[in-house]
Amino acid sequence: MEFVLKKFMFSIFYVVLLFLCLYPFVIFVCGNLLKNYNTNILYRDTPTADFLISRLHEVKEVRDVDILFLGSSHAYRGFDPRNFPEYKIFNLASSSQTEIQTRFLLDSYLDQLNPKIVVYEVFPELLKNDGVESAVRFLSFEKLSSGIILMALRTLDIRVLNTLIYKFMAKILNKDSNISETQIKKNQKYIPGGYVEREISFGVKEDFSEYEIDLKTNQFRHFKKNIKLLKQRDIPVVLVFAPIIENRYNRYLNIILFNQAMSEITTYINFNDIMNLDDNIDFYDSHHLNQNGVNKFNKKLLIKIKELEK
Amino acid sequence: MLFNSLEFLIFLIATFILYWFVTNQNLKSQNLLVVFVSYIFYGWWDWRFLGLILISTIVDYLVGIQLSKQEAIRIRKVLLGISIIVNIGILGFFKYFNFFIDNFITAFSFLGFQLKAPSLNIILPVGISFYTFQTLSYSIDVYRKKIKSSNDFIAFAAFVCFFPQLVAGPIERAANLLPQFHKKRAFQYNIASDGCKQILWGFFKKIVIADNCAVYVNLIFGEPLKYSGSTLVLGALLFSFQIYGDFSGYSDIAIGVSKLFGIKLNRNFAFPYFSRDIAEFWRRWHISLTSWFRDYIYIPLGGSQCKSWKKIRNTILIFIISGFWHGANWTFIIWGAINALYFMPLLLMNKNHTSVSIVAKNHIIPGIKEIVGILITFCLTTFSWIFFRAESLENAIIYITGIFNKSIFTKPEFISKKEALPTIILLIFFIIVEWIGRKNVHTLSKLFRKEKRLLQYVFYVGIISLIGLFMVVNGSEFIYFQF
Repeated sequence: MEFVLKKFMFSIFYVVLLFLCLYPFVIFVCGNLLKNYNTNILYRDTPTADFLISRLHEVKEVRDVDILFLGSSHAYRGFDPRNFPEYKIFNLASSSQTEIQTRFLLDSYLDQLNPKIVVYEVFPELLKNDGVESAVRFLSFEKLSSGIILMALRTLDIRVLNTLIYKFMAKILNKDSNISETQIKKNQKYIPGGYVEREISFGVKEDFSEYEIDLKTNQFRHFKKNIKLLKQRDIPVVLVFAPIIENRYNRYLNIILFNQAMSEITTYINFNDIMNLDDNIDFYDSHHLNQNGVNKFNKKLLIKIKELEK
Repeated sequence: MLFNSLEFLIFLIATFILYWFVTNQNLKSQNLLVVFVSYIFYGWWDWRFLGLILISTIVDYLVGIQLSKQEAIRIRKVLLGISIIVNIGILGFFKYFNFFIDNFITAFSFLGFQLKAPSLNIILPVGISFYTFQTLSYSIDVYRKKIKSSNDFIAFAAFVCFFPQLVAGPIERAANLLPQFHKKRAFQYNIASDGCKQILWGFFKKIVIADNCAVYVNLIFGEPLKYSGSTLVLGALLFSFQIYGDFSGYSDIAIGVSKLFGIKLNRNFAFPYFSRDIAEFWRRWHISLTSWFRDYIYIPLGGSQCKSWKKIRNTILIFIISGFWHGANWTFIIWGAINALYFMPLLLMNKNHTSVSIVAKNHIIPGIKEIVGILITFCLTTFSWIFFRAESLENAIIYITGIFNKSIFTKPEFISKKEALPTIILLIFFIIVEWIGRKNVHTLSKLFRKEKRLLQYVFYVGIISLIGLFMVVNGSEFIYFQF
C-alpha cells in the first residue's frame, strides 16, 4: 500500500509542479489578453485618482520630516502641507489604504523619513476592508521587492497573488510598464508633500444604514502591530479620526467602544466630537472634506499638535 | 467548514495523513478518526448542534440493536416509531416549527380568529435534512430486514457523520456505506486519482460556474421589478446553472473526497440538463433524495403498481413532500407541485421510462428530436426554479409577471461585454466538457485516454488556472447547506 500511496502523492506533486510552472505564463498571457474583462488579475497600467505614482516618486527623495501622515484618502485629501508652514510634512497615504499597506510603507520609508511625530488617520469602516484595492495599486506602481511580496502575502487574496505573479512575470520578461502621471487631472491637483487638492464642490445628502464597528478583524491586528512598531522607535503617534458628515458618523452603533479602544492605544483625537463643520459647506462627499473643510480641520489639528508639543 | 476554504484544505491533508499513515493498521482507530474529524468538520459551523447528531446516532444505533433482537411485529413497530419520532421530531422542530405556527395563525385569521403565538428564534442546523434522512433509512432497512443492524457503535457513528457527505449529501443508504466502515479499507491509486479529478471538477462547478452566475442571479432576483423581461429570463437561466454547479459541484467534491479515504459514495447527479423529458431529469437530479422518496414513501404507498388515480396521488404527494423537504416555505411546495404537473402527462401516457439510455449514445451531437426534448425540459425546469429561488410566493409571481411583457424582446440590462463575455465563455466551456463526459460516471473520469497523461495533466492545470482566474472571491455558501 505504501508504494501505491507514494505513487499517488508523486502524481499530485507532478500536477502541482506543472501548475507552478505553467500558471505564471497563464497569468501573464491572460493579464494581457483579457485586460478589459473581469478576471482576478487586477494589475493597473494607468494612473489612479489618488496620485499614488507621484507620491511614491516623491517620497523616495524626501528625508527627515517633522510630521508624517499615514492613512487613507482622508489623509491625502485631508492634510494640506500648505496649512503647516512651520513643519516639513509628508502624506504617506492612498485610497482605501489598509493597515497591511501602511505596514509596507513603514517598512520601506520610515527610516529615511525619520519623522518627529506620526499623525495616523483612522477610519472605522476600513477595519473591515480586505485591502485588495490598495494592495494591487502598490503592486502595480512599486518596484518588486521582498517588502511588497510580504504585503501581498499578508493580504492573502487570489486577486492580489495573481497581480503579484503578473508583476513578477512582467519584470522577468521586461514588460513592466513605467507609468508616469501628470500633476493635474481633471479637477484635481497633486501638491508636493503627498496632498491632493480638489476643486471646491459640495456633497449631496445621503442616507446610511446602521454600522457596527468590528475590532476583531485582521486589519485591526495589523493596526496594533503598526503602532507597536512606531512606539518601539520612540516616535510619538497621534491617532486622528478626520471629520465626516453627521449622518454618516451617527450610523456607528458602537462609536464609544471604538473611541475607547483608540484612546487606550495612544493619543487619540476624534475631530467629529470637537469640531462643528457644516455638512453643506465643508464636505464634497459624505466622508471627504473639501478645501474649506480641510483648512478648518488643519487649523484645529495644528493647535492640537502644538499643544502636544508643549 | 466550507469545502472551498483554506481551512478545509489543511483539514483534508491532515486527515489524509492521519488516516493512511497513523491509524491505517487498526480499523477501529481509523473509524474513530473519521468520527472525530467529522465532528470537528461539523462543529466548525456551530458545535452546539453536534448534540443533535449524537442523539440521532445513539437512538438509531440502539433501535437497530433492539430490532435485530425482536421478532414481535408490534414491538418492532414501536421501535421503528421511536426512530421516526426522534428523527422527524428533531427535523420538524428545527426546520418546520415556525412555518406551521405562522400558517396556523394565518389560517385562523382567515376564519376571523386572531391568534397570538410566539415565533421562536430557531437556528436551522446545517445539513439536518440530510443526516436525519440517512439515519432514518438505516432504521427502516433494519426493520424491513433488508440489512443487519450494526453492533459496532464507532462504525455506525462514522456512517452517520462521515464528513464529506454530512451536510449536503449524497444521502447514503446503510446498505452501501455502513459495510464499508465494517471492513478494512485499502488505498487504491486509481480510485484516489479518480477522486481528485472529481474534486477538481466539483470545485470548478462551484467556485467558477455557480458563484459567477450567483453574482447576477442575486442582483436580478433581489429586485425583479427593476429589470426587463429579458433580464429576468437571463436571471432564471443563470440560476439553473448556478444551482446545478453549486449542488452537483458539492456532490462531486464529497464523492471525490470520500474516494481519497477509500469510501465509495453513491452517484448524486447524472448530467440532468441533458435529459430529454422531466421523468429522465428526475432520474438524474439529486438521485440520492429521489431514490429515498421512491423507496421509503412512493413504493410503500403503492408506487406505480396501482390504479391510475392512486398513481397520480402518489406522484403528486412525492413531489410536494420533496419540495417541502427543501425548506419550510410555500415556494418549495409550489416548486414540487409544478414538477408533479410536468411529470403527470408522461405518467398517464406511460412514457415515464422512455428516455433511459444516454442521450446521443453513439453520436457526437444529439438528433433534432433529442435537442428539442433537452431544450423543452431545460426550459420547464428553469421556470420551476423561479419558485425555488424566490424568497416568497409573492416575489415569484412578481418575477414571472415581469418576464411576460414587451421588454422580453429587449437587450438584457447591465450586461456589458466586459462583464458578460468571460461568464458566457466559461458556461460554453462547461457545457461542452459536460457533454463530452456525459457517458462517464462523472465528467472527468474518462475524458482522456490513459496514454495521454501529459495532455491530461495540462488539462487539469488549465482547470486550476481557470479557477484561479475566475473564481469569485468571498463567493456564496453552498445553497443546499440551508436544507
